[in-house]
Amino acid sequence: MSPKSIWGGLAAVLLAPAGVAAAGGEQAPSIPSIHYELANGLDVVLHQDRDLPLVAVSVWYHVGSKQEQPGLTGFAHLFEHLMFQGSAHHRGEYMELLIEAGGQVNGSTSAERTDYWQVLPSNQLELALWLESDRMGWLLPALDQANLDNQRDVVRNERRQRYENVPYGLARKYIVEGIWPEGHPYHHLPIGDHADLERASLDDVKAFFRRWYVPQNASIAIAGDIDVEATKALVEKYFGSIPGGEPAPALEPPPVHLASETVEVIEDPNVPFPRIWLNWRTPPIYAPGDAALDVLSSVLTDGKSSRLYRSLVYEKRIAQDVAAYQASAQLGSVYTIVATAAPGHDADELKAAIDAEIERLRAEPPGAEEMERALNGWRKGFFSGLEGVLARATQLNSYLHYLGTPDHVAEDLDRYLAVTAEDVQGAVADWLRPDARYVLVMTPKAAVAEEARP
Amino acid sequence: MSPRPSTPARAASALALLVLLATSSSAAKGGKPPGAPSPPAAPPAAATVEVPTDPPAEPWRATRPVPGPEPEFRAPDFERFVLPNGLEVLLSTRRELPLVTASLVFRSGSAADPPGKEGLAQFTASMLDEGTRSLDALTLSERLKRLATDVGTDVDLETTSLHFDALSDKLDESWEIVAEMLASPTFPQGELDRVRKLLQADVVARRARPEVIAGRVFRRALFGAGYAGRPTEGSEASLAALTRKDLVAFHAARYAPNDAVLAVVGNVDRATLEPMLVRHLGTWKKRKVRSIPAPEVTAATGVRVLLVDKPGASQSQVRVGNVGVPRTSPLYYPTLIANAAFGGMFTSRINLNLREDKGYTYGARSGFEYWPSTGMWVVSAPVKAGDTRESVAEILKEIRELAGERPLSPAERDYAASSLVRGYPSSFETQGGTAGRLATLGWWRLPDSWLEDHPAAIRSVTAEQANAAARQVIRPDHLVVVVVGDRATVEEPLRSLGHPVTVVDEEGIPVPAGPG
Repeated sequence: MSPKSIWGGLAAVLLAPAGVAAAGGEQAPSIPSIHYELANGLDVVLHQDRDLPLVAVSVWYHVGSKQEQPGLTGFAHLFEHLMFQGSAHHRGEYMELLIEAGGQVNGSTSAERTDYWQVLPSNQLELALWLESDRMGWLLPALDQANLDNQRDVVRNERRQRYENVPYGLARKYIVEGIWPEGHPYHHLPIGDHADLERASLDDVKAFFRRWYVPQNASIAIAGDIDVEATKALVEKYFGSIPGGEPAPALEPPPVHLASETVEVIEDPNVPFPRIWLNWRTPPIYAPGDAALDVLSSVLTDGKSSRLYRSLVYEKRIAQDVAAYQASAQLGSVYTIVATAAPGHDADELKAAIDAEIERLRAEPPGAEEMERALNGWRKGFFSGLEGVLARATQLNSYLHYLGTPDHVAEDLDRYLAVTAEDVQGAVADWLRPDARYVLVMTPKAAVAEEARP
Repeated sequence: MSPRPSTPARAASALALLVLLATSSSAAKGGKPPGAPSPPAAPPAAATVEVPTDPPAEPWRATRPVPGPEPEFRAPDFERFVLPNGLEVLLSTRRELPLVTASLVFRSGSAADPPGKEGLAQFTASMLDEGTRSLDALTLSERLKRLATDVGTDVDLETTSLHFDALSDKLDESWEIVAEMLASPTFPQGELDRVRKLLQADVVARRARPEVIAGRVFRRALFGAGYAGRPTEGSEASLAALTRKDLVAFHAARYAPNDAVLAVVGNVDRATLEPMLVRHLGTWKKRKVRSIPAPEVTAATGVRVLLVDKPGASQSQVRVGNVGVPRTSPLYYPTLIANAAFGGMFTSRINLNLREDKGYTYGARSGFEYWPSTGMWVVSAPVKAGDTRESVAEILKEIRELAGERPLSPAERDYAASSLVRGYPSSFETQGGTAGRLATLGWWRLPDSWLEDHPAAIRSVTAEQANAAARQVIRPDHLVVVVVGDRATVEEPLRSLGHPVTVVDEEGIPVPAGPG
């Protein structure tokens, strides 16, 4: 059976398209790819899928806010913005030609890494390689104080828009500060603080670029309608002469558990209802316990019959919503349960009800049907995650970043499917301890704040 | 469905700590990024380590590469058929993944809410999964979760949609449940009272968001208390007054299979799908649907500023615009081009000015909404509080110049058309994207060839046509300006613009002048 193409006049599929395995049996997700390194250390991953004449180019630099120096929070992200201000051989807006070519373009910065991507018609692949290589090698000649000052203003407005002028928007900041000790690479958000953004100088920009934006510390994943050999030659042509630099050194993992429970209450006139976040430190991404905690999230809050939704929202009606999720990262992860009080209820009630459900899981593993629902959801999510060349290019870069190998989809799914009810129970006992967590409450009312204090 | 966090929560959490370059992003999803825990190693290296080598001088890089031949666009094949109950189906079979996406869109939305019953369409849609002929709320949820089928509903001014995606080998069982949600929801009183409280709380929560207030006040200024001026989510009071009888009646009147289109994309063919639908949707009967009279809409005249106080806000939400044109207007394609060049893209005039030149904002844009009998256009920008007056002044200047001394140049028209035409094929990349296009085609009763003809229609618009459309719709002397921001900071500067400023509340009602 050949994939139904929406495009005329294309060559047949050479490598198997993503997601397809042997007929008859249960399909396994995969993103067939080749991975190699240029002489200067740049990691290259190619995934061919000729079904549509589209290509995604994803470039990852293994630097994020975790490498920022004290007093320069927000710098990695501010720098990301400067990567869109032109480079030596293409001055002006980075996106200009890509948008004209019908492309989508963006970038993002997390604690871990900074990524840049574009999706565009495959006949324009070389345009993206030209532009990406130019800013990897020749960014600085095009940068000046005016660019820096302009994007500093833009980024400070991003902070206002996405963190300050949004109800509960600063909760993320309180959580990273509450759960990671001062001086820890994750203790601050990638968006940074206004004073630090104000402090960033053009010299800081140059030093940051020279240290981190080097082939040894980067990878490029190209997914879609490509000719593999021709693409290899183009990557060599555009990226091969950039000096390699140094890779990022690994960072020290932190202490495992928090030493106690801390409760912080923030009164904020701009939040409509009390909301509570319970936060725990959990194992690094991919370590034992990581997948079990993800499955726990489904058991706790995925669907009306999930433990917490059913208890807090459906039956007791003390909450409007509840969600459990884990933000997994290299130096350690954060597990969060967040609930918003229904009118007339407060954070204390939510906390007690959440703790009761956690205790229940500590005493007894989830049932077979709960596990089946949770694992079916994860299985399907892995297939949904293969839709689109950008999703695949990003996934390949992500696996490469954390694991050193690009196509790990099937093994990753297996990691979830292997989780047992006892694993989930064990993860609760090991990680969701009532005496080792950071609890945040944001509330519009002083009265509730008083009650919520321990 | 009732408001609740999306799950699995992974997507939300993975994105939670990202900061993006630009606001309009279709960030890649993907499974959990896995990786081995990092071994203990050296402490963080100083960011000031210098790498001595500079890249070589390579003058050939100054030449932009020449693109290969343009790929030929062929729209996806699809089939159309009509079920015995009148439901129109558009199916595009794709075999890449073991998934199917379905999107069912009714021709009724919140515009069908009777006066005083605002929020009824939304409330009705939120109750579809709260109990059906044979399933109670919890059982229904458990069965869908077991299939890993995610169902969602959306209500907008003119549409109610139900969409789901399912593993293709679970499609039959999924339709069995979804069919009950569509044809025989029971609206149990107990669940209804619970969901009502959630919807009322949502109304309160939305009122705390400046961008929601700005959008509501802007629409209210253009459309009054009728049509698009009424919020889809209703108010606490209107929701309180709705009864089970209202919901049952709305469902009976508006959830008609013969007044909806169903787009299905993915790993299923007609031979499998059609009998499946006939089997499951057989009890869902055809009915007569009363059409809703087109609203009478008068465009705003003069320029006036409506200010909503948001004490202490570090940013102001700014909206500037007026009534637009319906989807059926001959100005549809010309305004698409004009908007793209003016404010529809990252590199369009508005964003290059307010963001990339002035740094007033993280992102400014303009957009058109096209409805069956009218529409609206709006420039929107969240801007630093202290830059509010200058931001409004720049937006007004851009509007004046577009209509006057600086119309779109042929180069700007070419750039916008190139971006829209060359970017169009990627909208079919995902099953959801393709389903959206098919649903649009069916809902507006566009010809089958529309998918294929859309790029040519864009290309046929000249710069003169785009400018003529812009002049007709975007009129610098007839604008509504809405600002939601810190009154103490922004009011006096705004008044110095020379246009009347009215302080209004969150619903757009003028606030009596007081001592403060």
